Amino acid sequence: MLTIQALHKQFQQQEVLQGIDLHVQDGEIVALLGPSGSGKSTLLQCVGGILPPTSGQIFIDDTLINGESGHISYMPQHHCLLPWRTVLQNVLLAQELSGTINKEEAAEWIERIGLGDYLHAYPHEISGGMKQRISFLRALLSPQSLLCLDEPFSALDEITRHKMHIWLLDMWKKRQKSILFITHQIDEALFLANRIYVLSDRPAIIKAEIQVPFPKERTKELLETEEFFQARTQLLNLLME
Amino acid sequence: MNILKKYRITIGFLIALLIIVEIAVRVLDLPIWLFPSPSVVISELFQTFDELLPHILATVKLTFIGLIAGSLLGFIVGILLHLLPIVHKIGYPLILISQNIPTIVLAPLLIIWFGFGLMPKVVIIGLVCFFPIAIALLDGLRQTTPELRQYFQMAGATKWQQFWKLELPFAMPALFSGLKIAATYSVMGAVITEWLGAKQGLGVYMTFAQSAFRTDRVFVAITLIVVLSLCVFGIIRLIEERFVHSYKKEEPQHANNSSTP
Repeated sequence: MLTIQALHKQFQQQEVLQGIDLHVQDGEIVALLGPSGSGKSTLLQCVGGILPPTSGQIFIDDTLINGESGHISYMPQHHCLLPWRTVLQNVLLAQELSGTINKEEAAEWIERIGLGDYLHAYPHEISGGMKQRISFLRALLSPQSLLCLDEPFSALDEITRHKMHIWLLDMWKKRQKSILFITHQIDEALFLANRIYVLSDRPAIIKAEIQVPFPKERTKELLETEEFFQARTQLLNLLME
Repeated sequence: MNILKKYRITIGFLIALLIIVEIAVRVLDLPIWLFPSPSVVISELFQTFDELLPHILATVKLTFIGLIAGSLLGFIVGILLHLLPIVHKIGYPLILISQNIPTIVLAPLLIIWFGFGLMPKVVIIGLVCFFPIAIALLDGLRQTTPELRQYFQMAGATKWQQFWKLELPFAMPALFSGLKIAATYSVMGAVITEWLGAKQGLGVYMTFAQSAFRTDRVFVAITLIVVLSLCVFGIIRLIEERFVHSYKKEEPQHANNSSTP
């Protein structure tokens, strides 16, 4: 799906990414875990094609995409819904940008995530969690097969965030896509991802690649298990090193 | 009825003001040619309305042609300045200069070049009106939230898509602020151009009234100009309410802490 080889990114004299190698397989959820300011967003912007890498290659399905946008679908940290568009029109936005609109399907999905009543509501009329779900749905329904999430739930409160995690896994089961997401929250990375790349401080290198040892079906009971706690401690130590 | 209710304080104040002026004029016993009382102005307005109507219609027509020409010009200039940096560098100083040439000086020149027809008048009103629209639109386009801009880029939007689907809708409220300012200028502009040479119009009527020391008619003209300005402004407001009703600005993009996801 996505392959990144020896990616370097430098701003003037400052090196931000120092040789990143990573890959995402078809239908996999991969987390990029790192402290704030470690260059996670820079990496995502390179994948999105809005920052050209200083050196290194980024491939999607064997096509080199260095500096080319439009190959991924994207969910930003803040929902970025357009205030003058209704919920439905906002979901359709990403499809409009890439040229293939499927209104019925979009309406059906909004119905399916329980927001059918809000189809024609404006963003200021719905709650923060709903906006985040619409933002995710917008990315999910765009035609690109790799979904990049930029700290997608960091602006939400803890209870809402946890509900969103369970909801996201449920969505992902219904519409298999490859997902690459960045986060600074260990729990979020462990709960959602199949694999985790741990990034170091600036300049960022990949400190470790961790296969998450939990089954694909995840429920909130997982958070209370001994294994989860151990994995969490291990990751925390890795990050603190 | 709703409008009356909404503006009842404003209207009440205006009426009170008129009554005070009326009393003052009567107590001081001012002659009509010096300062006509509101009641004289109003009765003059109704008595000569048939005579006035062609003047009013001429001014209305001129105002609308000028405002529409100016708005189109302002819209195009604003967009060009935004999209093409080279146009911005060359054009911005020119636009500022165009606003610093006094209309009174410009008008005779335009009459020399274009004659006494409609053309020089529309050019003057257009020049007066396009500036607030172009500047407001340009500012609106520039103020597009960086986060939304970045989202569009990451999602693979072309420059053109970014303009049509993000920047232009984002600038609509600013565009309407500019339009409202232009609307108030447009009636003034029309009257001024009529002073400089026309067969009909409130400006012409005013000049005649003034030279005949018919101060009451000067006030009739002023009243009509004010009413006309308010009407043009009101029309822009109505259009704005239709098109921009759903633009309610959100607080800066934080997700609110809602516990119902």
